[in-house]
Amino acid sequence: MGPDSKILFVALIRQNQGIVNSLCRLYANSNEEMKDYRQDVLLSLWKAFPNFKEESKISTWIYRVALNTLISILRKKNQGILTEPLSEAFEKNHFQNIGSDDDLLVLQQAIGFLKPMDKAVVILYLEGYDNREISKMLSISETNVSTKMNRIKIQLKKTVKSLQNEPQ
Amino acid sequence: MNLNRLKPSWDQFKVINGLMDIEESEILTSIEAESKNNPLKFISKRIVLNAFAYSLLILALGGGCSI
Repeated sequence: MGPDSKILFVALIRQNQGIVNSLCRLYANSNEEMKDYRQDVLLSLWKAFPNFKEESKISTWIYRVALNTLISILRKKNQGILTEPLSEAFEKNHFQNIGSDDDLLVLQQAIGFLKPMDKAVVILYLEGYDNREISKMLSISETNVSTKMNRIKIQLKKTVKSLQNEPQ
Repeated sequence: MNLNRLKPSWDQFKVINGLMDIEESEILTSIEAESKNNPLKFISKRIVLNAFAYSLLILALGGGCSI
């Protein structure tokens, strides 16, 4: 790929830095880890860039490549979910919270407890993709997506409840 | 739990994270490091694969002759 591709790629990333940063932040446990993940995501996007078909939206392509990269990194590391009580996680500063809005805190903290694949399903749902599109982007069956969605809703409800009960 | 409740927060989350610039230098460093490493990785992978295929061929031919 030539210098023109690099210029175009840099511009595309900078236009969509909100997506890239948000995804990496939701999967990382610290700012340092977030930067590492971002580097890996940028590299995957660059490798996949020649195959990007302009008939799909650039944001859809970024979500697909970035989420699959993050899931694969966490599978290799065999982590990605917080298993300790929330109060301990707060003490160890696992959460790099931004903003003070209640729902924003719930979004970061409750989603932080989900498995990497479940996290990706929720993110794509929040982004407005339907089950068929989510299944295509994450290479899982549509039935699997709806099963996961039901399970995630129950788990999030429990986490939100414990967040409300625990002193912060 | 109604996940739709979190949709505005997700949009807000993206806006806040969008304010954190990804520097051009960071993007270029990430992709150029790979471009530099890539040809070497590719060549060494090919050498290993070719050597393995050649060994298999020799073994197959040798085994066939002894029978």
